[in-house]
Amino acid sequence: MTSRYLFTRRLRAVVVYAFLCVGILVAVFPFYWIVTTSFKYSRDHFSKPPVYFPTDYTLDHYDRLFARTDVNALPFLKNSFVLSTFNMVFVVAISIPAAYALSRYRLGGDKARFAILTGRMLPPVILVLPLFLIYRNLNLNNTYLGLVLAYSIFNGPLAVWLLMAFFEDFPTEIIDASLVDGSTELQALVRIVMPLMAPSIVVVALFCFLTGWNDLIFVLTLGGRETQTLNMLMVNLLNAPSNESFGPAAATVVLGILPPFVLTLFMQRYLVSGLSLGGVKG
Amino acid sequence: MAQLTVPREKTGWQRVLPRHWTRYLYPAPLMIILAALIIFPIAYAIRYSFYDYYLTRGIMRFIGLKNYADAFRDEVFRQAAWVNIRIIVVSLIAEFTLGLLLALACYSIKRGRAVIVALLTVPIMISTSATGMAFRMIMLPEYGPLNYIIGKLLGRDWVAIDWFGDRNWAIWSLVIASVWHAMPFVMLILLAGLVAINQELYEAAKIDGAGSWRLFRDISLPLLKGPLFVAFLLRLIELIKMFDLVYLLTQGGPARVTETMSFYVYYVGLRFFRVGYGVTLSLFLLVLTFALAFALMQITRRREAVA
Repeated sequence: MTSRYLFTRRLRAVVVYAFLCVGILVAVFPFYWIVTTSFKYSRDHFSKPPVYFPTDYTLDHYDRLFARTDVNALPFLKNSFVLSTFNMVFVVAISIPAAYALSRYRLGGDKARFAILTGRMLPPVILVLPLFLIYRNLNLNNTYLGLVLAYSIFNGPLAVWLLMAFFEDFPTEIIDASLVDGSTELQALVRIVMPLMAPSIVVVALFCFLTGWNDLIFVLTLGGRETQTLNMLMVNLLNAPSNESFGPAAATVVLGILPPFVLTLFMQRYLVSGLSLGGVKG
Repeated sequence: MAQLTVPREKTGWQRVLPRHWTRYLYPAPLMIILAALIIFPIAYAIRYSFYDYYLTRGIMRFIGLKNYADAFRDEVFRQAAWVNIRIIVVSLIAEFTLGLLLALACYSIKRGRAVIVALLTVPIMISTSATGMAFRMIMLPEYGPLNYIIGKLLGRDWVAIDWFGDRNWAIWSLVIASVWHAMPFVMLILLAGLVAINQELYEAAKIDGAGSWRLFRDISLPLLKGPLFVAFLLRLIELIKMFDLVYLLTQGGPARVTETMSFYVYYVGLRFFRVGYGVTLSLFLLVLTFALAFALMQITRRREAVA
């Protein structure tokens, strides 16, 4: 009796682990493929059957991205960093006071919350075309400012939503105490609340950074020659007619994956709440 | 530093404005920017929807409601909606079946859970664009590994599936890439839900002689309703908006069979620069999204009222 029970339990454990292993293989394989492709020699890119475990590696494709002149990835990399960083700073700066007032005074009540969520649901393509026309009149197409503003449409609501959840856990006594001590509310917010909430703010900031970094549709439509990001470089390289651009395309994808990868490792703990919009009530 | 001050006298503006008026200044910058960037474009869209306006040809002619009439009859838009619906149904079923199974598997194991979860969630760390790029390479008909792997599983060398060029397969390339990208997200939310369930419930049910299927059906599943609903909502929203993967993988082709609504609007407005019609279509999409958001909010509210 006991041995049979143990046997079925073992068997079940084996099945579960096998299932998880298959899951891991599927989850990791595309990542593995991109990374190895970026280090493979060009001849291994187009072989039948494909080379799963390349024996020799090369840094050629990365070299082409940086050292040589045909594909210069530096401006693209710079644009990605500048845009994501500006967008992050801008969104966080306007979202902190908004989230503070919305959660502390419940300004606008449920309606404000509904509006924020709906803002997040809008398909970006709806706004892209009219924005393109407006930007044309204001000469904002192909500028950092135009793109940063466009990113804030979707980042702003996300940041406010996340920050509101954090502010709701913040003890109001601390703010009240400093108000009694004679500081203005803004001073209390900047000097007392923000330092204490720094870890949460950093997490929200990183989410904003990533949303900017991963954007495709805005830079595709509102961007131009001077504001091309890494994502655009990937697309251009992969759509290029020559087989020679296959390796650099993979290397660009790896470059593009790196920052999100590192940042997500830091944010593991906040991933679920962040991805589910700070825990929509369910 | 703490510091005592005498309460200040009310001066100037303070006498006129309502008490606590400063509170409204805090959200003001964000609200103004959002209003400018959402309401202004929508107003623009409404205005141009009454015009026949080609950006490249510089034609702009008032045509009243013709764009709306056209949009109602537009077969391609209807077909795009149908593509969205098919992708949504298949992806959601696949994501939630696999996500739930993986979450349960992760929950049931004792050793190595942290590492396994970290490996399973690798796709989350990769952007949609990079996902698209990866699948472009993996699904290359002759040189990509996917056709060889499927071939191996079927006991052959290779299968000849043209993932992006075959009208029957192209939509599956979108589904596969999107499920791969989103499934770990569903799994994470469900796993968090499972971990939050009180262990004593299981213990008590086990003492009463419940088998593992009963434990799942009568304890896990009812208590997972919340997380399931949240994940469902968020995935549905993402899939309705679907654009990036279509742009990266199939460009709507072949013969427009994989055009989603978002992609079609982009195509009309920003490829052909048929602006008047493009904004009309985007208004349709807007109304559709709002109706859906509203319906979902109503369901959420009712759920909360019941709970």
